Amino acid sequence: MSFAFLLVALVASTNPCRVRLVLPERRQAVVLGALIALAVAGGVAAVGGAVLDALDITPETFRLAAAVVLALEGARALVLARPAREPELHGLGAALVPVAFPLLLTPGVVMLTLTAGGDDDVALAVGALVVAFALVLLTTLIRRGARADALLAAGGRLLGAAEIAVGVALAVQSVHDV
Amino acid sequence: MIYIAVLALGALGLRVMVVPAEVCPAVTPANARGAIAEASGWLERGVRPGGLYTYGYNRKDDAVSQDYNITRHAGVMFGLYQLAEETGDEKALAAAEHGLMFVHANLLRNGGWTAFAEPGQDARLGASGLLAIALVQRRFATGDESEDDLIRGLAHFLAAQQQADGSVLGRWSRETERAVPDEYAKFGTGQALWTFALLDKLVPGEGWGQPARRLARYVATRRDDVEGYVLTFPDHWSAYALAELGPDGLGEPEIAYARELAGILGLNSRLESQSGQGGLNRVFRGEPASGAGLGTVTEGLAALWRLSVADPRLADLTDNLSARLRCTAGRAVERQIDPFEAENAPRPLLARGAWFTEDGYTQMDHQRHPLSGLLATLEVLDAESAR
Repeated sequence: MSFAFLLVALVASTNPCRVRLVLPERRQAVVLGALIALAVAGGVAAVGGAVLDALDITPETFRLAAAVVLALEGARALVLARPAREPELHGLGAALVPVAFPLLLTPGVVMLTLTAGGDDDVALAVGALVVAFALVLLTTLIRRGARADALLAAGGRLLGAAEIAVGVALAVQSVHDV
Repeated sequence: MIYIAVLALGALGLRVMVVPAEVCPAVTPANARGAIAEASGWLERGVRPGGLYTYGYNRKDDAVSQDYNITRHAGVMFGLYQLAEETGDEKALAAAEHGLMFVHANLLRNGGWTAFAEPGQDARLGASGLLAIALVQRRFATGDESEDDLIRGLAHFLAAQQQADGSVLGRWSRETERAVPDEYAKFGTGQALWTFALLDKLVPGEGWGQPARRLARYVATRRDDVEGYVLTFPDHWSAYALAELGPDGLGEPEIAYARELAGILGLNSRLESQSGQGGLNRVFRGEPASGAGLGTVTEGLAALWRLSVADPRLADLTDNLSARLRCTAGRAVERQIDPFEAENAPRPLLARGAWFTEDGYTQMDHQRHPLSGLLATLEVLDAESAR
């Protein structure tokens, strides 16, 4: 997978616009949560090849599973543009729940990093994740309000559609790969 | 908790429905040779009067099929000649030569061409194409040129079926004495392509390169659209042909097509490796491939592996092609009925060396395709161990 593809896929799966609607307002918790998510996702990518080996799945086949997850996740974002607020741990614990999990470490992000790991593209995946999570951090600069929320919801829908497209592209790639 | 439970269920669903384990038993030169010997034994024991071979057998009903198919007859000859050429197996050669009697009794001559067709039947592209391929293989195995005129006659039939756009029509009607318009042969097109490519090597200077190149371009660029395939048609015969044409005979469209073909054969290999004869894999992946299915995928992957080794434009595919080939060949070896299993069948000699479908049926091409596929796999195993 190319860096550009991974970047689009991970940004779509992270969906900064949609996530912003339910992010805690404490910026410190968001930054810490993004770092935790990056470390975990990087770790997942690093062991991706070994995990797929253990599951007896070739990376080419696993792409199909990732494609299914991305398409479903994208459809959810398209239909439910405003996610329900997640329960929060107190204080900086919010970095762990809900920021790192479940907001940033989405099923799509985990599948994509596993796929990239299986393809030995760990560095590319980590690089793309840095950009995707940085975009999430940037959205915290947006002041919430009715107008901003409506725009964020529209952006979330757009990224949901992009995630579906990424899923389809990945499925096609899985069919074409040997 | 609910969130985590949903994720866990989702992961389980993915595992069961989308990515069950790909099971790839090991294939070694020894077990591949053993499987080849057993498969050829089944075909050789099938020699029947009149130049025929045993067509099929159902072990559940203990019934020998009375059907026959002349294209598959030519396929059996092809596989046995291949084995004779590769290993010098005299029994295989004798069994292949036995099939010539039926061939010479079922030739249709018209103008400058000859087709392999039973009396009263229309001439079909596949039967003549595969017979031509088998006879070229015979030439390689024996050096005997006595069938060269028949090879040329068959190739002229294929050429007569070729249209201006390079495609080849699948049937010639005895009634109208013309090629039937808009009717194509599923495998005949690839067989015609390989025939032209083989003849261009066997008898250079006779002009077979041009129809080969025209047909190759059609197959690479238009066949799937014209003949109605949504995905690239997994055509192992075209894979053989591409390997035969080699780097010098392939333009960029053909190379792009070779990639697509490798992709679809690889997908078939991966999906097949996830199938099982029972349990959830049976539910979500369907019946495991027949012997013919396993064999055709193996033949196609091996041919494209040879091409990828010869052509730097496809070199990036070599390792994956090898992995898929080993997997499917390993599954073929594992699923063949060995002599001990055969003892439980009503007629052990019709079960031994065969690949049966779930409903207990096998037919000549279920043995022939794996035979050819495993022969080609041996070449890959030998080449890789020599690296």
